[in-house]
Amino acid sequence: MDLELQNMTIKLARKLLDEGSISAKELTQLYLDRIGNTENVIQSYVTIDGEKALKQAEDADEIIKSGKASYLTGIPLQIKDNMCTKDTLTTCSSKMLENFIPPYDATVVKKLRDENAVFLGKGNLDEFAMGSSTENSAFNTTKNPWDVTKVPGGSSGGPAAAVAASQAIASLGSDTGGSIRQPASLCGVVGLKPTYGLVSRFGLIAFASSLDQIGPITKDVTDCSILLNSIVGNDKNDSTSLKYDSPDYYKNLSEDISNLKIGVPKEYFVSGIDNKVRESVETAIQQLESLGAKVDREVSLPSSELALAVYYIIAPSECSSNLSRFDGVKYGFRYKEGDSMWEELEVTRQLGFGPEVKRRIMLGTYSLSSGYYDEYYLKAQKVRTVIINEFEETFKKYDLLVTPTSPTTAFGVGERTDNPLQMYLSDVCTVPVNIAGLPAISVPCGFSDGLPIGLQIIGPKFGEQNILNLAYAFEKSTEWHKYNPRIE
Amino acid sequence: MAIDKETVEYVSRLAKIRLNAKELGEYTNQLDDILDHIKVLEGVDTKDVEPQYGILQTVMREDKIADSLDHSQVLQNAPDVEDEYIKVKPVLE
Repeated sequence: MDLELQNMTIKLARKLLDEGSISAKELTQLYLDRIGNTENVIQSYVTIDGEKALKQAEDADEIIKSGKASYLTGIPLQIKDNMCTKDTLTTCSSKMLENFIPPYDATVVKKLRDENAVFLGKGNLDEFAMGSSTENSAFNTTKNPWDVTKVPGGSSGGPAAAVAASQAIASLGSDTGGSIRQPASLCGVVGLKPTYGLVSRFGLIAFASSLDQIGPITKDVTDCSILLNSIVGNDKNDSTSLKYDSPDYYKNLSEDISNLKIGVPKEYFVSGIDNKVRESVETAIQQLESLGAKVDREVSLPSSELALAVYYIIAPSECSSNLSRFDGVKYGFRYKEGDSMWEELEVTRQLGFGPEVKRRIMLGTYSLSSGYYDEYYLKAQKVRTVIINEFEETFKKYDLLVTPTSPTTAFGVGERTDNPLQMYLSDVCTVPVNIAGLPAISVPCGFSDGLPIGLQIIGPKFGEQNILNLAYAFEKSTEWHKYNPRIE
Repeated sequence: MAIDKETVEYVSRLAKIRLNAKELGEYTNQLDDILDHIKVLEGVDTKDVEPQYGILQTVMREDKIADSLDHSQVLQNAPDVEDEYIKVKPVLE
């Protein structure tokens, strides 16, 4: 059958699969063909596993025929390559894990597998999820489907580009300082970072454990709510996952936002923001007002300006500890030409990690080292408390906050690679959310020179339903999510 | 300078990452830039503020025996294995 994959969503595919207009195997084959036709340009995948995907689709077709399908049965998905997939290569886009085949599934992967979702393959990322462009991938740089001379953002650049280029219906990303929302913004798709602890991190290869969170990257808000439903929940294998009875985010989607009070924090509109981004976000805010939301533009969150500095102490500190496990002994790459274990270990880490990962391990080791701990790490943890308290106070007055997701649209490949600090500034609007453990979404809200712009909606802890509803109401009243890139 | 070459070299030994001369120079400059940006925190009054150790709750559970991966699965990714052991080069002279 002739199908426009560009307009395919989980919701539409579910309908087509259930009514028998298409089989899961046919749908999967269409996506594999699409990947085959576009991947040489986009490069959103580290691993494509067509054979396994088709087998999974056949199994899904049996279940669909038996009438026992759940929402994701037979739906072709991509998974970011820092989530363990049993018996399928999981590289973190690092030479260190180039040959790593996990003997177990991450909890999120297990949940999707239990629903008989189809896994097309693994999505490219900045090595160990450290970066904002996928240029830190040890294998290749993913290209932005809207303009292949631009980056897709990062670190979940593979997942965002794959969804924008219709190389998967949806994907799972992870977000430590903006790694779901920033690429979603730059690629014109929807990306949600849930409340810290709402989704299990078991089997997510750890970067910064107090900040990391897995979430959906999708074509639209409805799909986001569907995929979120399938991955939330407490997990005995992740002691930081919360015991929280999630609502059915999909069934509870509502366009009525007239009861919502929205704050616009002015600090997110100042330094380095593109004029066109500012205008588009302002137009989006007016749209929300016209839909009945009550908007206050005079909100101030002064400590948010400190969040990036706090982040670049806490995230590297946690990463320096987490990545100490990569020693070439138990798994992964090992340099084998040394005379002693210690020599091999040091050279393994020199050759196995890329420059950004080494930079962050060094920065974190320094922040935690004797004599500097109080000055950096302890200070950062105290300022973190200040930032959290400020958000909590603000959410006593407002249901949600809206900001730009990224201060700029997609930047050029190679444009920021020589200046790490400049690259870090890409995350200035998203990082405060992780520091405070809050949920936030990015939804498309405009274009500048053919490149997408994202609107960020931030909520209090467990505010996902309100976030989704505001995003849904906005999406229903605009056309931004309906545009698709043309890939030559 | 917030950080000098000697300190970066010391940190690389703590982090067990060997650096060549070029890397050492580059990292010194880049870490100096980043630490300079981080200085904004010095001006924040945190005298009466408790540090945040993650946004975590303490989770307790019973210490119960449960299944885990078997030996062959645990060892399947190790670069060098003999019998049920992971092999490395000499640790002590």
